[in-house]
Amino acid sequence: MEAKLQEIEKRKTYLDEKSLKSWLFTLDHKRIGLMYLFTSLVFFLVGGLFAIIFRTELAFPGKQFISPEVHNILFTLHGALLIFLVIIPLIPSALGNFFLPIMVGARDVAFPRINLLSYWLFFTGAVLLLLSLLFGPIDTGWTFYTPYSANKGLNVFIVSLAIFILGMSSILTGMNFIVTVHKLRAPGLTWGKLPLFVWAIYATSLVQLLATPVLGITLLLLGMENLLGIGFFDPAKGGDPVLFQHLFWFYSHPAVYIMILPAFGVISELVSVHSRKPIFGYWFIAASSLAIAFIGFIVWGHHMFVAGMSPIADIIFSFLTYFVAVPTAVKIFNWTATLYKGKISFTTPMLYALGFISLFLIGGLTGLFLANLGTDIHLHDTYFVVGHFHYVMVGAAVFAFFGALFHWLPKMFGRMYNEKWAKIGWFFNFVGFNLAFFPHFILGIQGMPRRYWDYPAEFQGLHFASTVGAYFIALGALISLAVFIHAMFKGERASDNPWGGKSLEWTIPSPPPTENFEKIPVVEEGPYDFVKH
Amino acid sequence: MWISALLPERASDYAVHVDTAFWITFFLSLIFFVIINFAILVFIIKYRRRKGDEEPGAPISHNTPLEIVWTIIPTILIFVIFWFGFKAYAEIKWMREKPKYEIRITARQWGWTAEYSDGKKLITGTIKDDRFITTKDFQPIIFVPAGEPVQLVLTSQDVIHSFYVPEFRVKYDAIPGRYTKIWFQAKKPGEYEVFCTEYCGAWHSRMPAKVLALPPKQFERFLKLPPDKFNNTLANMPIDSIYAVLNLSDEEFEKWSGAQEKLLLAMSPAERGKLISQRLCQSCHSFDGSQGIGPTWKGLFGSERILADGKRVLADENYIRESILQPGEKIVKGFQPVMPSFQGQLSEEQISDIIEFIKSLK
Repeated sequence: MEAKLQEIEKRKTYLDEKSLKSWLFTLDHKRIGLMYLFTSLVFFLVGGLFAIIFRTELAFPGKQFISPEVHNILFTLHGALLIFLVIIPLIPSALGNFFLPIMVGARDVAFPRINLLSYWLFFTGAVLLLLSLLFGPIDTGWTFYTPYSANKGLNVFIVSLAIFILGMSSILTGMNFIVTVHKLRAPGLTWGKLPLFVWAIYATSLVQLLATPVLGITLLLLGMENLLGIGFFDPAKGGDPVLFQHLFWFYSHPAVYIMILPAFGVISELVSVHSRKPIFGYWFIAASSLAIAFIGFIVWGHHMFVAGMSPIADIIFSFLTYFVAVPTAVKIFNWTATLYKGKISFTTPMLYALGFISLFLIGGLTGLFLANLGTDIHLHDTYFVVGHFHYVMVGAAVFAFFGALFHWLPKMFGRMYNEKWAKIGWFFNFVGFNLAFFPHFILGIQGMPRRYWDYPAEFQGLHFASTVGAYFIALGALISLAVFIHAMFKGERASDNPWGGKSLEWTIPSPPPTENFEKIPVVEEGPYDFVKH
Repeated sequence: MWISALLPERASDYAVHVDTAFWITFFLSLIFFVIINFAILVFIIKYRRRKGDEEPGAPISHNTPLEIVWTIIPTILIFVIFWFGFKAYAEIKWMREKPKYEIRITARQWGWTAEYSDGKKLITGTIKDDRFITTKDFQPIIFVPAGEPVQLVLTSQDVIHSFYVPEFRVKYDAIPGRYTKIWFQAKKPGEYEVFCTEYCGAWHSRMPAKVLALPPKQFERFLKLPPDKFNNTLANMPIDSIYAVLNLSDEEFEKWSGAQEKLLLAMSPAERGKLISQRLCQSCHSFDGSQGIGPTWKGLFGSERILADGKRVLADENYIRESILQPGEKIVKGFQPVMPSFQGQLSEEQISDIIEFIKSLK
């Protein structure tokens, strides 16, 4: 045993080089993945802190301690940071970068230099987004609806430039992953043997590549309107404010799938590995990822049922939107069926996966009310919508991220996390999340509009519950991140394959060597053909 | 019943169709939610891994008939849900009969204006107050007859707002440079809150208004109110006084309006100006020297103003008048050109009253 441990200590890993330069200019996809991971986690904490501040304000009616102006800046930054700097890059750019090349049996992504460029574009965009605060903070909401955002001047221009640059990064990463999956698969690794995480990242990359340019163009137009006064969207200058909404949602609806598809991929891995059973309905899951990516492009109008579209457009968009429900339902059935006759371990990743299915189920089902022409008129722009997308973006996407983080932590750092504290963190996250966001559905049904600094005193009880839940989530997130940081430096040595996984990342040492594989493997078995462990 | 407690009161004719769509979606969702969670619970208990068990789970990888069935069932159900949603939408969208009354609603940062065909015009202001508000603070400006269809023509004079009455289950954006239309028929007399549901800036949450659905007699009285005298006065009254006025007989009403007129005549121009300014101007211009979106009025009159282009002007009567009617002409340094024009919205008398009020703020 002692000899074996010493041998492990002597192995060369991608973490060996310690100089700052070796990190900042690295071409190693694993190091770039970690840089994304830590950058995003910093913004995760900042964005979460903003939410804690305005949730505290909202615990009671009337002014507590922040003015409406400050509240509006905070919810704008909360949304913009968490969407553009956290949820969009968190799973694909951080974990995807680390694991996608390994899972296809490659030494790196197809274009390592472009990969580094992606990261630095991301970093530049993030810094620019923060610098924009110096020119006057933005209070437009992350949706930048015109004409409210059309006459703000320099700060909106800088923010749109920042998101434009973030979009460039997103496009390059998507392109890189697509080429990697097509060109660098190991011999024998047919499309039918790809882990579902790879399928999901592949579908996500397609959406990133095709939708993000539209966001770039839209924000460029908005920036030009603010800087040069050209009337694209402001009716006072001869523009059309509703055109902005069309262009914005043409990206931002597919972007919802950029955020959730990678989470689907993660859950397929976690559910299968931690119940030691082949994923149920591999092809249905893989195909449903592509179906969701495709349908996601033709449903943007469901954000605009009360915005002045023609009734025919309303009806068609509602009808099409419902078709997203089918592949989504199929995935949920498949994950559930995977548990059947499995050998289920209640590890932290599995708890996050099970939490994901329950919370995503609520997030998905409440979407049915919002695609519904009749009920959406009542629920649109109320807290019901806020509840719905937090169940999908946090309850699903962030839960999947935490599950993936603990699942792959032993591979990334060769160390194990503290199971007990990780579970305590999960408990606070799960209970806190439901306490914070379930009341939003009831508030919305009762007619509480969103983005309010204050509300009639009649709504108080549920707002207070929601604030308490927010504190729980803060505690849960801090505990979970502390467990992660602790494991990274001080965790017990983990074996190369602690879960008995079959996909390629579990066949190499933990932490992996720089070149991933000593010899490119020849793949014969599928990623879910589990054996005695 | 708890079920009716979840959604607000159904106060419009078409609300029942929306609620039907809601409950059908709700119960179908609930069935799925229960089935999935129950299955998960059973599986994780029954198939949990025992200590020392190192065998993999059963190698079941798919079951095509089962997968086809659970693809088809949701596909059928979404058609059902879509259909009920469409039905409710059709009820809200298309009127069954031509509405007798039309009201023009103009949204602004941050308040609503309701204009009636006879020239009546009621305006709400922004409740800029650190204390909490309740639905009692929602000022009624939209007067409609209960039991009859009414059409609203919505627009905005600055950014996008959204007109939402939860109890009617209706909502639509008020868009600058466009007119959008909604209609509703209140089932019975009552007070129904109006919220703005499209984010429109700092005081988005403080532009409350109310629809007052009146029984026929009271609505007739409302119609008979002479517009020139009552523009903007009703919006200042507490709701009980509004009801009291609407319940007066013709004779009593004559007396009351005479007394009102005297009351207004007895006020100084500055006092009258204060009444208007509190409602229309205070949301951007403070009266006490504190900072706002526009310059404070304290000490404004007679002072020298430095404009954005560096010019200096004296703030006299003509300057203030121009700033009210063509606010874009002279922008004070350090402020944004965001003030809407009040051309056509204020009478000559009201403008002079406001000027007198500003003069009084030394």
